[in-house]
Amino acid sequence: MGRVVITGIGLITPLGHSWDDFGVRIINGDSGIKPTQLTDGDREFNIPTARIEDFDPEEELPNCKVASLGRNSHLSVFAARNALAMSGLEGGDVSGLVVGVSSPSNEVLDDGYRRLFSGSGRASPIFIPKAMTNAPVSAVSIDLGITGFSYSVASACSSANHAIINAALYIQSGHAKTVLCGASDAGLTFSNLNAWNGMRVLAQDTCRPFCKTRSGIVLGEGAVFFMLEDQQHAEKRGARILAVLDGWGQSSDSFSMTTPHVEGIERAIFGAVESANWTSEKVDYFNSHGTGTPLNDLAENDALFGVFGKPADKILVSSTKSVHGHLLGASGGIELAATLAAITRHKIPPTMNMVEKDDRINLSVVSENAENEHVKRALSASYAFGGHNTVLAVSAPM
Amino acid sequence: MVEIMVSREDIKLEVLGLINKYSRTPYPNLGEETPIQEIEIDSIDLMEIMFHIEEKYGVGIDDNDISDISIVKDVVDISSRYLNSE
Repeated sequence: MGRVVITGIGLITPLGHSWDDFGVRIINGDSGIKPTQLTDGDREFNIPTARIEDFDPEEELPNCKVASLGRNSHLSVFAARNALAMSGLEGGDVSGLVVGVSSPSNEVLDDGYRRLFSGSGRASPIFIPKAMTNAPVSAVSIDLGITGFSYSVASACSSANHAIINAALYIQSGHAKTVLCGASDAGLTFSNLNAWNGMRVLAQDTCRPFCKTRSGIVLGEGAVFFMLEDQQHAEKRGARILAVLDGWGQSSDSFSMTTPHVEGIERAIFGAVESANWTSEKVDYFNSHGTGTPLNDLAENDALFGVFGKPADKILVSSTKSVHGHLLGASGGIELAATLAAITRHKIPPTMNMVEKDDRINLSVVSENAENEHVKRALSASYAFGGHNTVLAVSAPM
Repeated sequence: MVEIMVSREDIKLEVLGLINKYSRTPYPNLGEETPIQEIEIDSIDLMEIMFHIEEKYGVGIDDNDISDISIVKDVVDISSRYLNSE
């Protein structure tokens, strides 16, 4: 079986547009969360979000049909170009492409339906191809000249991890040598934020995972792409190996559309550890799903103790959603990036905004006073509405 | 009904702007004689360009007219004809 390594990363996030900027900011605990005012006519909606700033697709994406693409495609193309560039490969060298998404392009749907329902009553000819769920993966395939397999996967907040796992399976099984994968989400629209607010899960101040005074999720946007490669292939061409993807775990709760399920999360964590052939002592860091909702935080706490027993309290845990928000379909991507930052920069990205830890959380949650740590092996977890649980196991290259 | 009078030059500038907007890269020396096939736009992009003209000026352009387009001048002529007809 081929060993899967990561040889490229490209991203655009509320914490920077480059891997270097992101790495510095995520380790420093800089926050990308800001108060945001959204308007629709004379209606206002005020909510904190983690938005990408200073990104003009017309400027940043030369030689790209920007007007024919939605924001999630713009972000995808930008991140994918950078992941490919870091890998040193050309688009024609890449065997295939898998991209996670959680929804069609939100702002394109808004504009299109507004025109239909209250405007001229007509649909733009490019409404469907611009909005469709596979638009980001198609945009990247066209932009980079990737002619092998390409498709999108949609499993809400596990979409990114599922895309990465899909890509890894091709390499592990010997069906591909190089697969570009990642995810994109750009849902910070008046309509989508109001829809999420309808569930009463959005924080009104900021995201405070594992904190006694937490009040929920802060939504963010971004795209993160990785080049996965067969280790021998990478070594043969002298590529820089950022990390090894040692294993992964997947499970379905088969329980509820929205309520986290401890047993399901346990199965995904166990699957990742088992496939990587690790024990609890080998896990230096756990990048949690850590949404900042009581249900998630407690389920995640219980699942880690369920898998590792008492030694779970030795594993350093953080939720980086406290600074980059919840990127929904792309959350697994940005959190794998945060995990890689921990491995390459030898420090745990902190959980910010944790004023007072919830008494029921017994994990070693790393707050802003993080010490230097030599992170060799780490897990990155994403769970999703619908009960899709995914955990990635990554380690520093030998 | 309010009569819409738009100069042919204004329509031409509008069309050229839309073509550049929907192209992968701005076409060098784009002009009225440029064949549509040489510009990096798909047929659906051309429909989108006509859609913008229709929405902006409140006219409806017949599908048959769009299918006859071969050079940029055709787009300008068709748009001009619809905009300045009754």
